[in-house]
Amino acid sequence: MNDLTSDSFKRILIRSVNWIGDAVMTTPAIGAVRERFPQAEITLLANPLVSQLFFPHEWVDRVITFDRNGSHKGIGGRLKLAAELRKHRFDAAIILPNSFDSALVPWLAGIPVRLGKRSDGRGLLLTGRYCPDESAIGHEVGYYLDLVRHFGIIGKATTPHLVTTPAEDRIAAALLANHGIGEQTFVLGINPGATFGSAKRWYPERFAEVARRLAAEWQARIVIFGGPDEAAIAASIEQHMSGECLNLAGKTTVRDLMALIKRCNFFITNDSGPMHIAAAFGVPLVAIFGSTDHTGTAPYTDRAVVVRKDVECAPCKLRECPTDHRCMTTVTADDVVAAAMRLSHQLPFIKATA
Amino acid sequence: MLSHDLIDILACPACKGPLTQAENEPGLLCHPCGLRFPVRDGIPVLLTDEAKSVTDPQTTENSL
Repeated sequence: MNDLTSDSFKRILIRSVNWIGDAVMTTPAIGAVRERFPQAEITLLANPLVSQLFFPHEWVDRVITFDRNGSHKGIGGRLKLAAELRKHRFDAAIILPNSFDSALVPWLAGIPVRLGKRSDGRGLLLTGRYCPDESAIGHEVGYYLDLVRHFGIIGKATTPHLVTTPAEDRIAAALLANHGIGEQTFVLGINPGATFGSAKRWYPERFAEVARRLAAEWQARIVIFGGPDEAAIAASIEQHMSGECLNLAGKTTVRDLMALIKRCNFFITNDSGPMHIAAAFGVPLVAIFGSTDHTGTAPYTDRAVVVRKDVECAPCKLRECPTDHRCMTTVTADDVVAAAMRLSHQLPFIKATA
Repeated sequence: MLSHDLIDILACPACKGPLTQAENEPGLLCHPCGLRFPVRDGIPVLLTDEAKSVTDPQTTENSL
């Protein structure tokens, strides 16, 4: 693949990964593709949630959404999707996920060049195979950059990058203004959920305590974020705070969430998609890690502090804790407040904004 | 030739039934539909517009 030239491909399909946080961490690799093939039309193939992250995005010309639970379900759905993709006559597919399924569809779509990691028994479906040393894989951002670099695709982007439109920013500002949060107000975002499972979640009452203490310290207004399945957790925090917060859990699209998180002056979060969105926008944050591996998925920014405890069973990477959740029970509100204060002292603009 | 493992997970786009490898030329057959799907550059083209009708002994037997 080292003989690629900038016009080797006219139409490139990038098959995105399936989780919001992972997708944010692929953005530098997507930037490298954009830079390597500046004239190509780059289309991203993504599920309904992830596609919103990239619509719009300056490195992606077009997004095609697939729905594995709807019209593209089962082998019949995959054939339908492949038939739809075939019409676009893509020259090359860059397949970011490891699954067999993610390589099957570009193969069935007749895309002549198919590049991805050799995994999950799908080597036959690929024309270019990336075989990393599994023991040396570090942070996911670096992994995806290495994946495309293996095929001679190198760019300058090294950190995750997302964009919102001015209109989206205005809508977010108007929403906050309707709740008495003005442009100069210090906004502290709280993200107590994690879609993957309860093992990744710290506790509502502790989030509430941290929010109360930091709000007092910074004269901040609290905004709680979360998906529809996390409304109960957010409601619990709201109750612990006696309603002294704006609870937006379950009330935002991914695009709303992006613009609102971008507006935050500080963010307290579990290891989650919104954590990576905040990191991509350079929002200072404290991330609480328990069951997941911080070496692979820590927020990719120098404006973040990870709070975690060394316990023998972590990182287990399980969705639900099979024992006593000690990786999270041992993290106290004091730990998180101290981390936030430490970071705020390193970032003098925080106080200037407050 | 496509591997049996791959053929096992594929399906006819018309009836979603199983496919089998054609014997004389690259292609995949759906016996109930009587369709042959071409294989180009090692990739099956599973589009009904691209399929050819074939007279299949099993199809004939089933219709009797």
